[in-house]
Amino acid sequence: MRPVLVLTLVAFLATLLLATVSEATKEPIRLAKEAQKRRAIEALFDFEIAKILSMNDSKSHKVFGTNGEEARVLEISTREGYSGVITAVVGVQKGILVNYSILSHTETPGLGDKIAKEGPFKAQFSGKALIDFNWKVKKDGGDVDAITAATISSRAISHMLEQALKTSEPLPHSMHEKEVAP
Amino acid sequence: MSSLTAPFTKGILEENPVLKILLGFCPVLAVTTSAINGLGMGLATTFVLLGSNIVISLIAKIIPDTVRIPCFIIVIATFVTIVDLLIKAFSPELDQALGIFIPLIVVNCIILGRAEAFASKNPLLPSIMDALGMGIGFTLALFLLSALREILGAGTIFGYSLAGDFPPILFFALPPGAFAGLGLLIAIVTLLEKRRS
Repeated sequence: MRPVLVLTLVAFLATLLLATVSEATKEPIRLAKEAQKRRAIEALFDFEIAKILSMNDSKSHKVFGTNGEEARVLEISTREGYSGVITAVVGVQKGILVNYSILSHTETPGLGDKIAKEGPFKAQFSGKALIDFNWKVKKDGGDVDAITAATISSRAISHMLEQALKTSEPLPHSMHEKEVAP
Repeated sequence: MSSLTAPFTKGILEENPVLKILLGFCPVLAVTTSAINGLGMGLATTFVLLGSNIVISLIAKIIPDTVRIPCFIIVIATFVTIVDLLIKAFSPELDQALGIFIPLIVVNCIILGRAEAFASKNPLLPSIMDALGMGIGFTLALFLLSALREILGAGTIFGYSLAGDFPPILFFALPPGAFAGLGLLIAIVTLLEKRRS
């Protein structure tokens, strides 16, 4: 009888402790996630952000700069990666992809996780529009230079960014303004 | 005094959990892709080891032998979950780097091994010293292997590029490189020890 009682007691105390910690950290974790998203969105653009408006579905945001700049931010996630879900924010201005930032992923550390880091892979997408870039990795006949030993992760990101550009409806006159955009 | 320093130093050198006892290879091989990952994983494991050794050395006397292991595992899992939640709440940067590895600590056999072999049979203070020694020994081994793999496999250390333009050896960034690197490290340590005696 004693083993049963002791084990139950230990499990009960552990549950109590975990419930307390979980309750206490719930709000800080939510705030940290929000702050992380906000920082990620701010890092997408090279202009000062005045305000961010969230759309109803809260997956799409309008960003306004202090000098009247306007851009769209899309929160998008994909299961096409090597393992697990990849979520990211993608910045689009006048139909052109400005930058993206990975919020969470479980790609292989040291290989696939390069999708989240600054470097040649990430840089190649900046300034590309839907039509003037073939959003496939070179192995599949596209223009994307995949990360060595991480073709699946690279493919997932390429497809994800293409989808983001497709869903972000271009702002009026985007076709004219595209030529003068940086 | 020596009764406290002995449990501390043995974990770092002569009974180093990774390089001498060859335990805990799962996290050692999996997370050592960059120096910061190795160091972070080592420190998180040390914290869990310290917590579990303290609690287990305190409660070991009231725990019946038959449910010893389940009780230890509950204690360890609780500590790991607490560490995970605290890191997520107060250090999102560390969570970004280590988040996926923290739950792995539960299955680290070094922690259960120390609980079973040391903390459950010894008083509080030696158990603390044992946890610190083993934790530092584990961290040291992880750091050595991850630095080696990051330098050879990516040409960087702590994310900074090294001077000199040599092509990175991708092999060391991949899982087989972890086995080869760990084998090399263990061979070097064994060789050094043979020379000394």
